[in-house]
Formats: sequence, structure tokens, C-alpha cells
Amino acid sequence: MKELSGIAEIVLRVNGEERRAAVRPGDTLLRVLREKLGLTGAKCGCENGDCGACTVLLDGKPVKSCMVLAVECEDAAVTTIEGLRDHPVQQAFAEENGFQCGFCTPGMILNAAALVEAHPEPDDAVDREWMQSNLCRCTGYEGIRNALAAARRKTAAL
Amino acid sequence: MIAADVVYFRPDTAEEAVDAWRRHAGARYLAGGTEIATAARRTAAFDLRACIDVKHVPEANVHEICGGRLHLGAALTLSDVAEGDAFPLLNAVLRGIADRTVRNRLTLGGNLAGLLPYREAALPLLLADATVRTVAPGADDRPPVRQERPLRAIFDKRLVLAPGELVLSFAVPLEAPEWPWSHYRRTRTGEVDYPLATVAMVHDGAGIRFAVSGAHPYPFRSDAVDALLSKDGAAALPAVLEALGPLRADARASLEYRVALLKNMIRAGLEDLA
Repeated sequence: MKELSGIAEIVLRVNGEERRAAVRPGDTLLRVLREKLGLTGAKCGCENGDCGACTVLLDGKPVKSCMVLAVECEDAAVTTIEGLRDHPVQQAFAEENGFQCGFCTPGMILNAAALVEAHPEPDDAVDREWMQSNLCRCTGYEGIRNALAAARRKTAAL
Repeated sequence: MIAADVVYFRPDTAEEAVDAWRRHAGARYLAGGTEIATAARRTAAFDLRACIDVKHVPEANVHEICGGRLHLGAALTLSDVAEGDAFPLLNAVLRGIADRTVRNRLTLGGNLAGLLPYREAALPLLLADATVRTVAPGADDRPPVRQERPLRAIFDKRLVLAPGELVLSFAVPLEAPEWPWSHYRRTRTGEVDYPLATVAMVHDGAGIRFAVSGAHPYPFRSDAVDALLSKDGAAALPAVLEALGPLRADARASLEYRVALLKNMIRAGLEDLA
């Protein structure tokens, strides 16, 4: 049985690389990514699991990193927005103006990338169910919806 | 981040989990952690000194049909359960809880054992007469105690567990997911919100079974209400409301609104099952 207390060194697999960090067991994944690993793409929004600005992928599934302890993630593959390099969903968000202030954008893109991967064919009900997890305070939802559709077209064309 | 200094345990077996609890009385079991991580960060009033991560306990991850029953591990996420096709009513109820990315972490056991009063995942399990497998620390130096009990026997507003008792899994008889079912859920704002009322109903071949949360202060099912609805249908609504006892009234919705909502939902459910 693994036991951690005080300050412990953990190894996280982030964006395909092994990263070491000295953490307290009470540190959330969000804070460790931002403050220990310098990956500031995931944003601190509500830190209450409501807004989705901190969304990252854990083993390919979108989760809110403010609700996950970093010590829980040692066996998982973590993907942050920095791990997507010119991904079709990123291209689509840029081309379709799927953002305004941009604060929610990393979380939106990661959730959308996982959605397109899991459901390559468009389905309004599924899209709505998934994307409801992320809030855009600028209310730029039309651009985001257009970006999602464009991302699917790009992915299908690959 | 959580201000308190926390000790983190990651057991590989149920026995190790309860042993860790025995060594750190007051420790909390953590599976999805959605409630623990947020509550402990928000307020020092949420006492968190040690957490025991039970995600890797095999018995808490079962998802299988065995011995004429569907077994669902308490550490399965709501998304994992809802993606299966074995229990359609449960899937429908789970899809209403929180949002998709939270459901990717929030677990079945966590929803039933958490602090929020709605505990909607309990409704289909109460209707299906599910059983609960648990393990608890043995007294003194005795070995851990494993039990399987009817959920209804240990669900009184919430799961009533012994100190250190860990929920491992739920089991429902295979015929229950086949029963005709109905589910209605209403919120005040968007779909991602706490329920003003959630109603789940089934017809088990002999009669109606009814369970409610949101409008009621806690998940509720009673034989008396089942009998009223089975015997008199919608005509029993006044008696049903009386049998339910005081309903919830808060800033989200008045008592009168919730009563009206509940009546409409029950009527609609009865029509669905007719």
C-alpha cells in the first residue's frame, strides 16, 4: 500500500513526458500543473468543479483538474493544452473564432478534442451533453459550436 | 489546493483500505474525490487529515453480470456505468447528475455516500431492491467484516454505515433493469443543476414502485407510497403527498411549486407505465 505525507516526490506522465514534482498530498492536479510544472494552460476558474476552465485529459478522458489530487494521477497519462500541437480542434477554434477572451479556451479545446475522438460523427445530443461541462463567460458559444463542427470536418478529412 | 496536511493512502485491497482507516480514525475514503477535493479546499470545517484512495481496490471496480445479478462497483465512475446498457433507468438517472466531465470522476459510491442531499443514483437502486456489499474494520484485532445487506435496510436519508465501513459494490437482480421505467428530472436553470425534483418509477409486474429526490429532502422510497400508486394511480396523489411528509422548499423553488411539479411528474410517470 502506497502512503504519502508531508512533501513527497511524485512522477507524473504529462504530455508524454515523465515529470517529477514535490507535492503535498492535498495539492490538486491543477495547482501542481500550474505552479510546480509551469504548465499554465489549465486555468483556475471557480476551483469548484463548475466552470471547466481547468479541464485536462486523464487517460484521454476530460476531467476537471481542480477536483483531482495530483497524487491520484501517478498511474495516469495527463494531457494539458500544451500537449496538443496544432491539433485539428485548435486549428478549428482559431479559424472559427471559437473564443473571445480566451480564458475558457484551453478547457473547451481539450473537452472538444476528447469528444471528437470519442464521437467522430456529429450528434447534437452528445455534443450538448459533453460541452455543457465548460462555461464561457463571454457567451461565445456560437463560435465554439462552429469550431466543433469544423474540427469534425478536419478530423474526417485526415 | 487543500490547506490541511493530509496523509494519502493507496491500498490495493479492501483489507488494506480498512486497515488504513483503523490506523487513521477519521480518514475519509476517496474514489472520485470530486466532493472531498472541493469541500476540503473551501473550508477548514471539512475535516480532512487522511484520505484512502480506493480506486484501485478490485472489488470496488466490478462491472459484470454474475449469478443472475448485475454487479456495479462503488468506485465505477458515473460515466463508466452510464455507458453500459445493462440498466437503462440507472443510466438515465446518472446522466442527469452534475456534468459530463464531473461524471468522468464522480463515482457510484460517492454519489450515495456524499454530503449533497440529492444522491439521485440511489433512486434506481432503491427501486431495484439492490443489495450493498461492504467491508468494515473488525473489532479490536479481529479481521475485517464483510457483509451484503439490502440497500433499503441501510439507507435512511443516507447510507448508514459503521465507522470505517467501506462500500464495495451494489448488486441488482437481473429482472429489475428489464422492468418498464419512467424518469423525470427538472432543474431551475439549465440541465446542469441540482434537481428541483427527480422522480423514478418502475412497474415490476405486480405494481408501481416510486422513488423521489430533490423535491423530497432526501432520496425516498416507501412501500406505503408504492401501494397507494399501485392501487389508485393518480387518484392517490393527495394521499401520496401526505405519505411523503414535508417536502423541500428553498431559494431554488417554493414548496407550492415543487408540489405542483411533483404531481405532474407522477401523473406523467403513471401514463408512461400504463
